[in-house]
Amino acid sequence: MKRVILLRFGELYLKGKNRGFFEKVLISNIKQALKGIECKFYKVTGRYIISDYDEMDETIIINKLTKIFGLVSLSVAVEMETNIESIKDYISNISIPQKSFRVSVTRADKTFPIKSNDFEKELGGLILKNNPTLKVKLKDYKTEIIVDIRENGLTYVLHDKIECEGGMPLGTAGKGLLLLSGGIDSPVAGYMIAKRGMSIVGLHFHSFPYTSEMAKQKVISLAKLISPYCGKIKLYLCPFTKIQEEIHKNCAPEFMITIMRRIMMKIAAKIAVKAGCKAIITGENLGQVASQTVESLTVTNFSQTQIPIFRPLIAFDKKDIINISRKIGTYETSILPYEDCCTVFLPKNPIIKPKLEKVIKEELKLDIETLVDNAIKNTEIIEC
Amino acid sequence: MIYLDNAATTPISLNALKTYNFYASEQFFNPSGIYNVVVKVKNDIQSAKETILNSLKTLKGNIIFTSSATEANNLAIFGSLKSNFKKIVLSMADHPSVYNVGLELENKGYNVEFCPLQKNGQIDYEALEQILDETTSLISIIHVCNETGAINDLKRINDLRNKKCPNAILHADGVQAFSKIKINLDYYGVDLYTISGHKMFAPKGIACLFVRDGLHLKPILYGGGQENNLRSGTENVPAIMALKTAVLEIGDIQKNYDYVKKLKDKFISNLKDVACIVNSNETNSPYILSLTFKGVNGETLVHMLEQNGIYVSTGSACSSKKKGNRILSSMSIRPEDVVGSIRVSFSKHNTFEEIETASTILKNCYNELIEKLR
Repeated sequence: MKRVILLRFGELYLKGKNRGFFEKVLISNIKQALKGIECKFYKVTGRYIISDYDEMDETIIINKLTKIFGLVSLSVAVEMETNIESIKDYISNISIPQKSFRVSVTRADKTFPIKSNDFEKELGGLILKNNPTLKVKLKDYKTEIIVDIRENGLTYVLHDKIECEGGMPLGTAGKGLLLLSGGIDSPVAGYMIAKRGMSIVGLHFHSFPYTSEMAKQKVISLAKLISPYCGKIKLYLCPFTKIQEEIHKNCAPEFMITIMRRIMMKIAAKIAVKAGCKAIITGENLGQVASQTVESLTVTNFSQTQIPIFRPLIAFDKKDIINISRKIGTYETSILPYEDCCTVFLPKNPIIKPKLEKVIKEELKLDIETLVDNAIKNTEIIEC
Repeated sequence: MIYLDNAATTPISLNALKTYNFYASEQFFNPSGIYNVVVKVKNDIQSAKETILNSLKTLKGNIIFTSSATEANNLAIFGSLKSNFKKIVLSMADHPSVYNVGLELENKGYNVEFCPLQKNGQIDYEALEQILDETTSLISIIHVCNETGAINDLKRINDLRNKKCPNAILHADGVQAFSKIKINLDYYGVDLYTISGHKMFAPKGIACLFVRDGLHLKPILYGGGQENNLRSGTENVPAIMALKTAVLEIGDIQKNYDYVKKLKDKFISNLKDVACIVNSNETNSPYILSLTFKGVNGETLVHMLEQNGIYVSTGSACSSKKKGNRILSSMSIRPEDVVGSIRVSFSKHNTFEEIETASTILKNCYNELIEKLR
């Protein structure tokens, strides 16, 4: 008899002929997450099992597994040889903290001599005998004891299902370039898109000396904080000072933010191509600030046409974004008070509904191509 | 590197480091032991206390070692609290380790009042006189303000205390005063006084609270009962002894003061062509200089200086996202000027050459920045 962890996966069932590919990626992600922890991993029909680990590592293993996209839930189970007496013996000593319970028996091993329904009743009776204050409830129960009798001669007894992230295995939907500002939204956007299987490469624009080394470090910390979900992130750190100074010097102040964001997108598109990314991901959110009106987003979209821009948070309320940010552990870092490059050169009255032709006319005052090329040339790449 | 952020911290002196190493590796014994070798360590701690008391010019109290000035300030205030305490008076110039304790006490239902500041950064003594009354149980005022260098007149505050609320306890945070200006605790009449090691070439992790004889504090940490039951936890002997060494190395305070004053005056005079306001006057500690640059963000200046190997700090929180600066705002400095503030803090080890270079580069950085932002 030993403790094991049973893993269940979700949408992969839907994948038909491609399922093999999705499973392969998921298994590789699980193994990568558990690297350095001594344990065994194996497959049984419809689920995976982690076994032979040090019981003291169980919480760490569970913590890591709950962050793996593609897994729907997991349960700690006791694995024993299929033997009526041992199952009964174990069940009668099980402790159930809640008041109501049910026993569910699944019998993949059809040679097992007792029918599932009958065995459920028998086992339920045993529990009641030792815990007379408990009640059996077939619906609305607090605890479900599952006895899973497999074909391979092994039985698993488990209760308490722990929810995992769900979604699709990371790496099954290509690679995207995430614009990381250092605020609350962008790490959440990265998490959301990674949940649909897209791997992440990060891009941060910094404006030293208007922003500090600390602001850059903050973005590196954020990239590290989302890595349990998104894997290790390659981060492009692009200098943006010169561009901001040039816009400030040459263009009308109300266009500052619009032009800045369009140039950021042009740089992002080029870096995306270089890094093999098929999409640009931003934390933009409709109506949150002046630069996120539908008109502003449209003008930003037209800055380049090579790469699609995904905005996973477009229809989220700020409070919902904050909730996810707290859940994934980025909130406390995101709110550290360092300047980010969007707050420097902030005009008093930014244009809220920019018109594309006017913006393009304003941009003619700049040598955008040279500015973009120089910024990319001086971009630093680090592995977080 | 030109280091002009000495109010933030200082490097440990070589002799203090040697002392530290000696007590960390050779005389490493736990002073709570009962065997013979411990006696020397215990006596050495006592001698460190005497050295500090001597330099504070007091014969009437004890030194309680703590891990930081923040802890000492917390011990001073929370340790003094009694259930019958009514009014607690702090000042707008206080360090967060006092100011935020005040906010916490306010949340707990105490009547906490913060004394406003004059334009020169000192507390407003007339306002203080109005605030103090017979219900006042505790007064805590910073001795030298860590942001502006304004020196509060502790003797005058003590006289006000004796006049309006003789039973109130008087604490002063002396972190930026100790080793830099002449101190005489018996003359001031304060009951509690905080000093910190790492601001005066001793290591980080050591500070202390002077407690006047006859004043009974309650501990805020419970355990083995070290430091007269006031600060449980094994004594940090290496740091305590290194602090003693640093105290013995202070030298002639007046001579150092005069020298640093010349450095500060030189720095200011080199900036005379620049649109910058000096937020301090002749009576302030020369070790701290608060400057406000018109039309720029102080943080940007700090980063431009760091590119040149010159280290100063911002005098303010400086982003639109953040709260304004409490101390400078209390001195009636306009919000747009608060944003452009930096703090330059000197030490006796800075040279005129460093001051010349740093002020010239600061001037150039400001001119360059203002040009770009035009």
